[in-house]
Amino acid sequence: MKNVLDAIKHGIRGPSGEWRFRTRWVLFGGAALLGAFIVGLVVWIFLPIEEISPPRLLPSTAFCFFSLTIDQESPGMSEILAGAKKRVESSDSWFGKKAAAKLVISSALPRSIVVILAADGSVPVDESSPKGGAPEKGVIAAGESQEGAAIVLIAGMGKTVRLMKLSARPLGRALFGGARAVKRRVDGRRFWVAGQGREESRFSAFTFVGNSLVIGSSLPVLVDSCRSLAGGARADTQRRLAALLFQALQQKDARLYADNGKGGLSDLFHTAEEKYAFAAFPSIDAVSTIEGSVRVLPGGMSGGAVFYCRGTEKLEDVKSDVKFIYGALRRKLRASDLDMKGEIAVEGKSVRFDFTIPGFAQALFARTPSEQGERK
Amino acid sequence: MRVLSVISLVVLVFAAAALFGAEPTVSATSKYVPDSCITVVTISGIQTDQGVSWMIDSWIKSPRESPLRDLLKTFIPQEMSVAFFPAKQDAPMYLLAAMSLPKGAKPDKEKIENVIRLKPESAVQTLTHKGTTIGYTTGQKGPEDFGAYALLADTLIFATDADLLKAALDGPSVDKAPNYQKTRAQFPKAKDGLLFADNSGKKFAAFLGTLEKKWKMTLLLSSQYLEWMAASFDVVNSTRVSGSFVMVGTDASRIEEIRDDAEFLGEAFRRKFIAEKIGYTSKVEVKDKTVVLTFDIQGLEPLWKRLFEQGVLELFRPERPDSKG
Repeated sequence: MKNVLDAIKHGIRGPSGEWRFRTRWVLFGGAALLGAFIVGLVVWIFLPIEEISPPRLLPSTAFCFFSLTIDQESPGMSEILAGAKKRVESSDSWFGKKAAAKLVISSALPRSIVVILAADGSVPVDESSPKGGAPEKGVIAAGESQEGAAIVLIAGMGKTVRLMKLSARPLGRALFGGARAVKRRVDGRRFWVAGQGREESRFSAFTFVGNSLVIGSSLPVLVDSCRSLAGGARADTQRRLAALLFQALQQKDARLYADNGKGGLSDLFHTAEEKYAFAAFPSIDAVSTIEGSVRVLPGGMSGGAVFYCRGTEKLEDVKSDVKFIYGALRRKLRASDLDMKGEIAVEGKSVRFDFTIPGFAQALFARTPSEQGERK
Repeated sequence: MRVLSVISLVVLVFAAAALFGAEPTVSATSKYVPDSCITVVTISGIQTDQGVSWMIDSWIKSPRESPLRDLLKTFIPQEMSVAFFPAKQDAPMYLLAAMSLPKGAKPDKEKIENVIRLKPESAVQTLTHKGTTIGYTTGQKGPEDFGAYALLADTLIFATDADLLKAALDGPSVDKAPNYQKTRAQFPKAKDGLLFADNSGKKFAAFLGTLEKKWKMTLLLSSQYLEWMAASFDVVNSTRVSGSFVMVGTDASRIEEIRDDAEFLGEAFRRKFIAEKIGYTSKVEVKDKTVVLTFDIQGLEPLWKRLFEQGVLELFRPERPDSKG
């Protein structure tokens, strides 16, 4: 060991302590390489990236989506972001954590978030992999769905997604409730799936597609999503849902669309009813589609939902269910000092629900009494 | 989904109320309930009524063991009142239970004292108040439910601490409270159970507020505008309960909000019972500043059994400030 140290010492400096010519070049070379790496990294981060439109990632069994466009310039959203920054500043976290959180709020927020619900199932994988790579053969089966539907979340991250790719393992750990993220290649695409020790977590797989981070409740639904991107024939319902999602993303607000044509929404509610032994929406089978929107405004939030029914026979039942859900939401929000106001009306073959929630942004980042107590 | 758990809990609370609920005209136990109570439930006809006796019997025989059940295996009270009071720092659930004893019954002292002991080795101390001996225990954390008792000639009283028992012996009792008398007038022919919640000085709203904090949900949006609430139940048999729930406002201007609460509660019960395959019908009516929810429930037996296994008082017990998880 001593010999090695001496060799290094004498390699850098001469016997009389002067810098050796060759060593100087080595150091310069190292610095240049580091500089080039940093410049390369910056260039790589800022290189144009493929914009992926979320409708292209709709799984074949999708029946519902929720989209949120985050426009930091809009008055309502800027009020929420200002509230979030204020909350971070007043938190007890150490300086570095606060700075990182503020950086995320101001520069690394997704520009859009889309949550898609789909019927969960299995996907066959075989050697006819479209992208080559190291395909698998067989079937990837979805685990037992606890919620009655699979979930895909698409976050349009822009170029920030490249930084996320560099930190895929810690990201996986955060998404999988502490479980290790394990690489898996299907259809030539790299997926990260939850390894052993997964705790209670809604998500178990993710991947990066163009500028988007795509997270799924199961690997099959994520593979299905990515196969949609590859193209191929799409069913009418999938095409229609994709068109509606495309329109929704053009709006500066949050949109919801749920198609109950094949009973996906009914399955979702019935699973929840069984799980919680509570019938929150017993007339759901009579509903064909739900369309909703929420707009974040300065000083509050307003929105509405229309429940289109298959016929007129169960309209009053649907109205009663919507009224009950409104009542539950009102009572839940009152616990956070939010006073939700709403109106429910029957229009033709549909039930319409409109609401406003004043003071939403303030309440969102207000400290709870218990937190205030902890700080004292 | 916490909302659903809260609603499930509320349904069970309603059911619990039916369990501990008096022949209002003659109440042997409510006279020992101090008028400072927030809510009191009196149940009568325990030995004579088919439905009530089945219920008490099932409760006693349910697998969950407790010293109170052990005690009630030795005698069946004729009537019982359970009352809740504003919480104290060392007793988040401050309550009293009075049971009228059948003629000739001599409850086992050891079993009575087991009810108030926090640990089997805890010593029971005694004091005398107005000629009555009060047994009590003291502990660093305070009693879980009951920490004191008094055995009178015809009544056995348990309370969270000796102070509450002294108040029960001193009076005045809830019988003399104006809102309680209005409740009796509202239900002149009350059957097996009577529930009364007093909101004078907004005390019921404050009591509910503590529970709502635990549930993270506001159950009654109109609690600030209520004068009192009451319910009368008839436990027809092991499966059927019918009755009515009355909410009286301080003035008629807030009646729509009170009606909204009554309708929401009615709907919550209906939805819980649909999922449990239990038949439920209800109707909400408004008159001046009073909202009445009448209901009829059939097929309750499995739900009762589950409630007894879970523990009735668990529904009301707030988390102790010093408890973590």
